[in-house]
Amino acid sequence: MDVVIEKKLSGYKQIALEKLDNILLTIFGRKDLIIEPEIIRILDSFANMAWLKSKGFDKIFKLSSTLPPKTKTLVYMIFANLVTFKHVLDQISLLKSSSLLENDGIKDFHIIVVPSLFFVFRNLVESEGFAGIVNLHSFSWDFLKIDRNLLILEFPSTFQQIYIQKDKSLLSSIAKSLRVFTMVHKRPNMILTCGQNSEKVVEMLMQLKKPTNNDNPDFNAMIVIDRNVDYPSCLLTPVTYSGLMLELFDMKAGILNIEGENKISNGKLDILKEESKQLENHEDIKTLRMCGTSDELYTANKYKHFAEVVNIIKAESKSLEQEKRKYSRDMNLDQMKNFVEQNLPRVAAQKKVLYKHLIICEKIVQEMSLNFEKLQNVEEMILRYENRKQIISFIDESMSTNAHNLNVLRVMALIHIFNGYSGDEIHRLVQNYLNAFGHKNIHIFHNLFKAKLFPNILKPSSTNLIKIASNLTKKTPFMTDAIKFKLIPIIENEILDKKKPTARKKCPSYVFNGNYIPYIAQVAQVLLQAQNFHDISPKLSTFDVKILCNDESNLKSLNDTQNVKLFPLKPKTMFIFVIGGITYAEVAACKIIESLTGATIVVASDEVTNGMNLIKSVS
Amino acid sequence: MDQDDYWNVSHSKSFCFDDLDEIEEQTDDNISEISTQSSISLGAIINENDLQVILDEEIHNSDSVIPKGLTLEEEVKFLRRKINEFYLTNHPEATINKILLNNACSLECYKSLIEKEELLDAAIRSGNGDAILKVIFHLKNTLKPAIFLKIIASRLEAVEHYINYLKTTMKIGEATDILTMLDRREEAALLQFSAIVQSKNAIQKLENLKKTQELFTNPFLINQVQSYINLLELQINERMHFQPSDVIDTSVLETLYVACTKFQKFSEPTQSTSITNPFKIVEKFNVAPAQFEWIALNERAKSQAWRDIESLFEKKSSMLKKKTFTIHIPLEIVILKLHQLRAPQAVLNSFLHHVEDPDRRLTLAKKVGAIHSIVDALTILKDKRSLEEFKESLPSMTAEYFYTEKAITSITSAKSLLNLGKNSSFTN
Repeated sequence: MDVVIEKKLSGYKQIALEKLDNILLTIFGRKDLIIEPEIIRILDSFANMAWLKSKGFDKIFKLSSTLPPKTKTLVYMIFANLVTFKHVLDQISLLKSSSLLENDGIKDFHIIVVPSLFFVFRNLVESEGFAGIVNLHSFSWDFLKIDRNLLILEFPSTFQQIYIQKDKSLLSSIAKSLRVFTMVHKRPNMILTCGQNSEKVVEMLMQLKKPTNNDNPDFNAMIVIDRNVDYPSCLLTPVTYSGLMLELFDMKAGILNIEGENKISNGKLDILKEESKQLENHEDIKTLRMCGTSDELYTANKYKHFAEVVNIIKAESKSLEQEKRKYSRDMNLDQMKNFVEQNLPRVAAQKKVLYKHLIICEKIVQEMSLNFEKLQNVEEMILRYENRKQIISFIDESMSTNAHNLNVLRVMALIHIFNGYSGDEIHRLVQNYLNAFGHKNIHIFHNLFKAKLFPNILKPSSTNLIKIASNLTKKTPFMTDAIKFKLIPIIENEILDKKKPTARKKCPSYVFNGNYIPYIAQVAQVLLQAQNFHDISPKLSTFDVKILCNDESNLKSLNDTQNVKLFPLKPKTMFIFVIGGITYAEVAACKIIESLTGATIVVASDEVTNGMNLIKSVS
Repeated sequence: MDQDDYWNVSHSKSFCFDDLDEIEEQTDDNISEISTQSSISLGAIINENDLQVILDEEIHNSDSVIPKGLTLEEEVKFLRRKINEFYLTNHPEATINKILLNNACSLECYKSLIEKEELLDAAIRSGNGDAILKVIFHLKNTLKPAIFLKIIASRLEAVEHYINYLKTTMKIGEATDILTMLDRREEAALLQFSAIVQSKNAIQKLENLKKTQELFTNPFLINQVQSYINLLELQINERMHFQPSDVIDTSVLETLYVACTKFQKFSEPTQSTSITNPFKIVEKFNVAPAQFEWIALNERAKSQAWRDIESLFEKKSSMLKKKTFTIHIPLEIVILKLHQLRAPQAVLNSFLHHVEDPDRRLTLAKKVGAIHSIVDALTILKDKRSLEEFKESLPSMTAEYFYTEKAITSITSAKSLLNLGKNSSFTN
């Protein structure tokens, strides 16, 4: 990647600081900060204690049910969630009534809402009688660079709000962050959208003030796509190391939290939980930073097949052990001293990182190995549209012997997308699910339906047998499109391919064991390999793609677009933004496209997600 | 303590400056790279004017409207411009744009019904949810309810945004009314249902559930709500029976598990007519056989009631007086689970006995170390050499040792018989 671009990508935190500083300048005097716990890590990634101190903050509290002491100006920082906001107003109300008597007057209250202060917040402040007492601010840190080519907004529950609750307020926040992107990197020569939300975001982007100078954009093409265009990339189980990490642990602002109970055991019924072997004392092992600079093991292996990674980590730990032993035996005093002073800290640091990876690998094996192969096979059957009986019996089996409240739904959603259901099957599966996890969860299935991840259970089921039968033999629309757009690699030479992982590494389907190519990777490949506009238009017409070129200001469908003279793309630079979360599998697939085409691809989204997180945001 | 984690140290207490040492330390770990050497100046990242545009918008959005340090003249100019911006627009697109740009603007100039509708349509076209909600509130405050509802009802996006707002602010009644008016009755019922199930009070919840059940029209959902009602009733009425476990508001399977701990007659389940009989619960709630088997198996194994486990899968057919073995979970999973829960060899062997394929049986038996099954499988496979090797690995003069030896003899004699037969046919 171009050095300047790389540095600019790291520069977003400077802009974020500048923006925050700009707000804090209006809040005078000594102050305390009360911060929503979820924001802590994120704020930490661009503003540290020393900086906050220099801005007049004395103490920082986590927002909780206990009231913070009110001795000076209080600044709250929360995500744009009306319920949290109400909670803060309630706190302020309590503080106001108690401090009025004790202190010499009420000091100011400020609430900084991330990423945008929407109308409903002002409205609530006014209707609760706080107007004039509470000062409101709007702040967005825009992009956090969490890896070499990965930018994240860390706006919470974006998928839930946009695709399930159908509240599109966050689209304007996304548009604004993309505007900052176009200010930093200039507006790309071509913008491509896929999906309605993406269209709206780009239209809003065009309404916002243009950057002053628009010569030589850093990125030639920009793709904005809706998460619901390609659900399988979330729902399928990734085989890459970084992808599997998120199957077990949560990540925020590039930091993986490996403390406490993992996501797989967490989703199971307590009564069926195994007494998990408590690994020995890991008190100092809490987090892993998922980014390139500090951890070579991660950098080298993040996009590799897990089976490969396990062996590498094992070999690594052996060699480190040897190195340690070699040094400690035949050494004279000077050598020893030298070793203690120089090598020991290095070895110790290496050992600590390695130890973290060993724990993570062990956990992945422990929680996933029993079922992994079976799951992979079933996913392949779903994609290949074969062995329906086996697929359904797999679901039945996981509903009993391996019941995980999210992962069961994840496979069910995958079946819905590729194969469809009969009315009877739906009822049986829903009933079994409710029996296992509680009848209060009925709404989950309606939410899944709203996100197009499950059939509508509110509709009376069709009793027309012929219709059911024909539905089952007909491919779902997504299946048809996926085949057309070649997202499912053809089986030819499969045996050969599977034996040669090196061959598979050359196809982005590598991230799903050769079963599926993430949509964004395929689009990127089509654009990067196209010689002229006619190369792309028939291929991309399968999905609802719109395009905006150079100085035009409106998105057009491919058919209405005149011959675009941008192809072949030069330089091969591309920025991809997914609305509703991106997966590490997709990031890895784009990395493969990068090396296949010699392009630079930077991917971004509101968060890094996976199938479990996606389903969780539904429930 | 992990250096990465200094934020979490003081929990509800504040983080003080005394922690500063640690903050210095963690810069080594690349945590806070505010001024790392690699960074470039802000000017090289973003154009100064552009940055100013963003910063200004940010402040617009804040409450402090008048910039500080202006001369009187400047302030008058500033305010005049603001007033113009604020009121003098009745071009819907322009107004919606202002909302996007965080420019303060009033919607009061949209008086006529047509203007209001145009404004709402412009908001929907823009796709900006914030603008949609702002316009909806303006319409709601300036129109009588019937007209307001009529206008938003014909616009799906508007309805979704408004309903979502009502849900978030727990105005369930109003949301239900709108959904009912739009003939989305099932959704209205589901909304009420979801609000009710949040309640912590089980008895109250039960009463409310009975009321909502009538709102559903879909037979499948009516059934599910009925199941929930039945379950709560069972849990409340029988709470003394389940003690010391508290089953109230647990799922069917969780209740079933506790019911298994209390049940005595796994060998003769039909003899108990109590409604807490797990077999009755299974029937009542239509629990899938595999789900029940797994729950009972886990529970009985943890209670070390191994005999119950065997009788769980033996179905007596009334026609023949024979017991048949029926199971709905893959045997492999069952056997591994039993082994994990420390089932005795005899139990493992009895399940392994049902694994038909001798190769599979052998692998499984080896995995769980079930000696008899290993020997049996090898016997079926007529693998004399492995049997002998296996015998050597066992301590001599033990029951297992003799069992293996017996198996070897049986193979040998079978073999010689076979050979005899062959020979005889040969000579004939």
